[in-house]
Amino acid sequence: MKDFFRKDRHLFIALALIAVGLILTTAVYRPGLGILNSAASRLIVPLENGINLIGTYITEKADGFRDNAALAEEVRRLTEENESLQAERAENAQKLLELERLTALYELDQEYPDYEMIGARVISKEPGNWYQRFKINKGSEDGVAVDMNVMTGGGLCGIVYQVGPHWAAVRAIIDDESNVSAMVADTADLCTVTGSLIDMDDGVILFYGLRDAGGLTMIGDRIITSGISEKFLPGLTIGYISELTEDANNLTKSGKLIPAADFRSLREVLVITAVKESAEEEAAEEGQ
Amino acid sequence: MRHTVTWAAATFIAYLAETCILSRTGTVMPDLLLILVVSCGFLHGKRAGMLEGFFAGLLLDLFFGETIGLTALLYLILGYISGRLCGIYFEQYVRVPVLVSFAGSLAVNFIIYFLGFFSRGRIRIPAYFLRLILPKAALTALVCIIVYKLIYLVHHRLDEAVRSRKHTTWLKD
Repeated sequence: MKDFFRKDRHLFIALALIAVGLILTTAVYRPGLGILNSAASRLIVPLENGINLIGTYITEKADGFRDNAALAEEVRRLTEENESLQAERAENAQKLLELERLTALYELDQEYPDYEMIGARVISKEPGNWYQRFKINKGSEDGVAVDMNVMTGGGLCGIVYQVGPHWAAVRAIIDDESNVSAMVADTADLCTVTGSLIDMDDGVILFYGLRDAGGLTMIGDRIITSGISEKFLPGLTIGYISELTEDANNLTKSGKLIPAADFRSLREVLVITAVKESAEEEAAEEGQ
Repeated sequence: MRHTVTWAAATFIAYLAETCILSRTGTVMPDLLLILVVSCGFLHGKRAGMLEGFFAGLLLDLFFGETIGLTALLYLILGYISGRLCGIYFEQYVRVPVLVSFAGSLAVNFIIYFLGFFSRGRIRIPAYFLRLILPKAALTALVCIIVYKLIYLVHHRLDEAVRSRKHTTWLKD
């Protein structure tokens, strides 16, 4: 019995040392993380893709059923249509939902015609509530690379921070660790937009350091990504100001903004296949 | 062997359920894998609890974490602690894993908060505690009641199967 206890203790120490070693290694040496990550992802990403298909199927079915219930009542009350027709309508309603979503995405694509985008599906989200990160089903072999900007439903959604052959991990702009260099669209005054876990429940994110010298910024103003950001392409809509307060230093203002992207139902996203630097180089070449 | 395979499968299923289905809801989620770690330790002892904790934590770290190993370490310790309770209480006592899950979830999330948020100047402890840490621990404890019963049933079945096989061999001899 004593031997067993000793062995358990040894195993505990060994595993703890491995864990601490991993923490230190990945904290210092980032590429090592990628190797571990992609090895493990080979196993889990196909599974996630499968589960996601089922999940999407179920949610779409559920949406369909909801429509179906409403329609069936009307049908029963008014025309007493037969069952086969009902089924057909339910199916159409389901297709319509998908069509609406895709049309919305397409319109977004039209709004930013300068950038080439590829569509991707969200396959899984970070477990555990602390961070707002998710995975999409397109990776390096589809042309996705680290630092590419991700858009959805009318605005900036996040940025790719890790990439595998057929998946990429995206940090949403509402993540607590996310910081985006931004500006007010009308006045071009710069500020920084940051996610906040606590304010996320109210559907807002924070911005600070707005030097509004002319006092022209107002609630409802559009905030877009600034030209001086290292990683974000300029001119993408982030959101609209909902709260504006003067800081104690009387120089800068801070407040809250409502993001243009809808983070509650994140299913399809668009990845802009231009990284900040390369996009600028291309622009320069075109200029010549 | 059977137990190992069952636990590995359960861990994968819990992970997929958490990332692909529960996270779609956008509200506070229970720590499913933490429940598994606690249950495994409580049913099988320190050794199994530690291994389950280490690998379940590693799984969580690998796919989203930017620093791998923290959850593995925390779950390893939790598995060890719950393993120490193995054999002290009857396996039918749901309240033991439920209490350990509650306390474990509180502790783990507090540590994640301190390392990842407090250290970056997010110092509104009461807000984080009331909005996230406490609801999460309470939900984890609630879900643990159901999940542990399920695990206990499967565990009992597997044990019975093994025992009956042994029994027959013994009779044959």
